[in-house]
Amino acid sequence: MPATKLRRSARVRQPPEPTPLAPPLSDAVLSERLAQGDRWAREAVFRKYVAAVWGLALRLMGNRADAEDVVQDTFAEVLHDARQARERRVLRGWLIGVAVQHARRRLEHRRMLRLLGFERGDRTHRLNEQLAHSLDGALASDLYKLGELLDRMTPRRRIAWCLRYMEGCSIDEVASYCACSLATATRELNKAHTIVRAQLDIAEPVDA
Amino acid sequence: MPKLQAPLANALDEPLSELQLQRIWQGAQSPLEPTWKRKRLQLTAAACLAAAVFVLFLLR
Repeated sequence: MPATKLRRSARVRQPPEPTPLAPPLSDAVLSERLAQGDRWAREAVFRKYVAAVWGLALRLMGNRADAEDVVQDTFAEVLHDARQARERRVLRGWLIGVAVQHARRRLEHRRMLRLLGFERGDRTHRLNEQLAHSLDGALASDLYKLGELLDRMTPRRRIAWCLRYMEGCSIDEVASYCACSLATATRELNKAHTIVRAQLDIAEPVDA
Repeated sequence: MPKLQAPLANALDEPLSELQLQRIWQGAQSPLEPTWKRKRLQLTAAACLAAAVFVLFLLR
């Protein structure tokens, strides 16, 4: 038998060994390596949490362009202040807190522009409206209305409501992420939910 | 009226494309603008605005 045929058949008989997947590193290990300035850890943190931060930013901001900016600013800040990672062992909570701060800053900026009459006329960027077009019936109408209601709220109230009713956070977590007291968080949530309940029927979140 | 489910995360969600992922990663790598630089820019803008208002007041 020619040598080439032998080599080919040997290749067929011996399939390559599957590469074992490395177990995902814990937050404690990642934050330690991040604090040491490990480049691999920076990318690992980004890959691990980018989807979660993106989803949160998208729901808080209500449009893709602003959400992308929020995600970018969040990771820029977290990777820049990597030395803090050692103190903050729970990376997810830290990232969400930073993302909420950036989202609030952008929502305040957007609100200021609207008050000064500089709001962009193009409303097609709103995620709720885009989704409402792709859905049918009363759910589409509710999503559209929800977008309208959230746009009229103050940034803090909007964020508090979104964290509680969209993300399913507890009131303690809402207060922590919004950097306010528990009483303020409860008050903001009650005010926001009164406004939303007047227009929509929202299922109450169940605390874990 | 149907009851919107909480959390609404599934209703208002979409995956991140690889292009967006690359763009965000590259943006996140760039160093942050220092706060003092941002503050100085804001102060300059405020000063320019005040000067413009003052000039308009004088011309009136």
